[in-house]
Amino acid sequence: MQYMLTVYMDKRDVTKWITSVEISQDNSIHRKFRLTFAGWHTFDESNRWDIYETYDPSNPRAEIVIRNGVIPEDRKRMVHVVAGEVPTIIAEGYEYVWLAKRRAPPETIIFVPSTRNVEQDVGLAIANHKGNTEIGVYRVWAGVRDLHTAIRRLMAAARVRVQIRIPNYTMNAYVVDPTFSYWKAVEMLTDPFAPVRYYIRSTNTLVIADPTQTWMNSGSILNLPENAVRVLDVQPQRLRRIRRVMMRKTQWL
Amino acid sequence: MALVPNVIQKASFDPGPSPDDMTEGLGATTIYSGYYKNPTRPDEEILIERTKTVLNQNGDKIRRDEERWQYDLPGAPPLRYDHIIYATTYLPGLGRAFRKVQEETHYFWCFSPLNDGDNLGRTRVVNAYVVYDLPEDPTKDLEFWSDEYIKVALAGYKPGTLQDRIIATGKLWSNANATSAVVEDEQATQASKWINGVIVEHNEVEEEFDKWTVWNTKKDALRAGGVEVSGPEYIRKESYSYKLPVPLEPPKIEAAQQEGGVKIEIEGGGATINNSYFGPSGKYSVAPTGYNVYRKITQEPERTPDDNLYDWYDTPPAAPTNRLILTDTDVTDFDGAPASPLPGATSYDEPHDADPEPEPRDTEFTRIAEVENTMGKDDVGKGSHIDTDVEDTGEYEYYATAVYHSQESTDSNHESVTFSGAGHRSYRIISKPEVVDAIAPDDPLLGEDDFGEVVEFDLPAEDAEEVAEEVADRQFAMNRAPDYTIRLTLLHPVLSLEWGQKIRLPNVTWNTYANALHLETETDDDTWMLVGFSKSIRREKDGSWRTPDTVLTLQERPRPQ
Repeated sequence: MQYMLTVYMDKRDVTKWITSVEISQDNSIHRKFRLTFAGWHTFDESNRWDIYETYDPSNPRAEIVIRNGVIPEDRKRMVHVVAGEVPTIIAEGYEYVWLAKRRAPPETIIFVPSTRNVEQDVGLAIANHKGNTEIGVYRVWAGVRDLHTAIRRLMAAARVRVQIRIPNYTMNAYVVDPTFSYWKAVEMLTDPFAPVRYYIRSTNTLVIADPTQTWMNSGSILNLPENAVRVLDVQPQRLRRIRRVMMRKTQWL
Repeated sequence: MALVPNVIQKASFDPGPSPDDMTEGLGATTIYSGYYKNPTRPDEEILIERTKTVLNQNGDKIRRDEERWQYDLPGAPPLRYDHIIYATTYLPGLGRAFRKVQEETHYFWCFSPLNDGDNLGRTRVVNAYVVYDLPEDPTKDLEFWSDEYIKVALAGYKPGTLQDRIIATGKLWSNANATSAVVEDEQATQASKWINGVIVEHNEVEEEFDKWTVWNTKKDALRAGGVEVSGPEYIRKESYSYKLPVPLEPPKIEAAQQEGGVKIEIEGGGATINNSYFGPSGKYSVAPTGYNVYRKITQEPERTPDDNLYDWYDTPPAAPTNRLILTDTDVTDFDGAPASPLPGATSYDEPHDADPEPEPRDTEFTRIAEVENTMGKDDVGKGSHIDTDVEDTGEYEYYATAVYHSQESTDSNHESVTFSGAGHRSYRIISKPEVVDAIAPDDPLLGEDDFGEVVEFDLPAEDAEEVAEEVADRQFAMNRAPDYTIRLTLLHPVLSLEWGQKIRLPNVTWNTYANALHLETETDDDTWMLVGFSKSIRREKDGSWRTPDTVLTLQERPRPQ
């Protein structure tokens, strides 16, 4: 049984030009891949990369590892030259959802709960806004009455489906920080609940799970037998110890 | 065949110590009872006959009661009851003598053999002496044109004849004696007569599926008026459950730690009765009416008042347990002999500081709760109970029984829970005009005050207090105990990895030989979450693929409190 990776660029199999593939994911929602090419190739950030893995040679596309991967422009060509050898090109890219994390609204977003008294609500939201940046040109999103609606609207603008499993609450009018991307705004709104956020690539869904629920049901349960493990490192860590939680109230007339 | 007494009891009560001058005085009282006792029902005695005799201090009989019950079958209702009263009493015209004065007979109709008591149809007939007052001058009452006669006639009533008036004065002998209406004088114008059927009473009972309907017809010859009819009176049936013991099966329980205690979930139990009466399936399921939960404290640390200094904790403070990631299972040298233990080994003990065994507290099973069946009558029964009277690191054993009215099933499965302090530590929330401030309790493990970060959130919530509670719940839960992060290097790449995947490491062991010691280790069996991975594949110069490294980063899943 041979572990195999198959790399597709724009639906074309380019595996034979590739000498090494590294795929990794750290504590974030997207995966990173690193390709080493055997020769010179032309590609830019409009190309989409798909990577599949399998143990079965008859079914080389058994599992999707990367779907619609993107190689960003700033690091797309890294030439590695060793004297006397063919130069190698190493490209690093990200999963498509990484693009969604980069999308930002063109104007400042202001949520208001209803379509009535919009001007008064906007005034209150701006008065309650506590940021250093100027609000500037803003766009009002009306009918955002609760947290879940706000998250759904923001992620829809970033073209990602969302599944929300944290508590909901009724929102007052609110200014999204103008320097934030859609994703950052969602992070900002959900951070107090210390959620577990992960991405399901098969359905293009971002899950915001409640940490106090027993399990989040991501993927299947993996049982690791003892003879599969070669090295084990253990490291205890405490991210932070919280003594006080302070929540600023919206001053609501 | 009627039942005859086969157990005879005779009880005699001796006369008092000194004779009484003023009255007859009470002499010996003798009670003779005959019971029927069936060997198949050893706890049951059926009274067949009883005779109670009361003598005065001179040995003369005052009264004698004879009771007789007739039965056809043991356990069945009676067929007939007779009560005969003999008494020494003065009856006008007959004098003072010991004679039979009253005879009462009940005839029972037993259509349904399980009826008892008031549900039996019966006819009661009383034959007794009746005392009449006679007119002193009978001729005066025969005066047709007397004033009284005319007045009564003019008022629109029909005056009775003399015979009617004599009958109307009739009194039962016992009533007449009790009300001093009997004049013990030969010359008194009174008479007494034995009347058959002085009182005739008939109870008719009709049985329906859910009730008995009782009609009562009574004719009392000594009272004015005709036949009294009362009814219908309904006697609602109770369930037959107390008559038919059902084969109760025990439920199943699951016990698990929960916020603030141990939750015991109970399911099932009850009885299934097989009888073709219940339709084609022939089965009838009886859900239990409730459950009893029992607990035994296997081991529990002492509770001290210091644990709750400020009364902030709902439950004793939750100390995060120090869990072992790696445990030494065996320590020997190369020859197999036990080597000197490492100071860090879990089996290491200082020679002189052996801790005394904690004294077990209340090791018997006691009932801690009676839980109602929350499901419907026709459904599988369910119930749950949260045992909040638990202590951190205490070990508890639970079982439950199904209850159907007063019946109780055998024990369910036993579940043992070690309560690892999963109870939530309550915090204080202070609402100020501008902020809501949630303050965590001191960590009893650290012993320091005011240690820890302050986090600040700006949330556009309308009800800030409520949301602050939700937020503080999660923040304090997630930043409670140190997490462990594990990095595993695997021999082979693993397919279909997902961030947040549940990973079980059932048992990873190593054998290592170092410094003349043989260390064998194993990981703590726990569930981990995948929070990162990296894998690579490389083509060698000969064209073959190599998979050098697959590294998984696992994190302890932050468990809810």
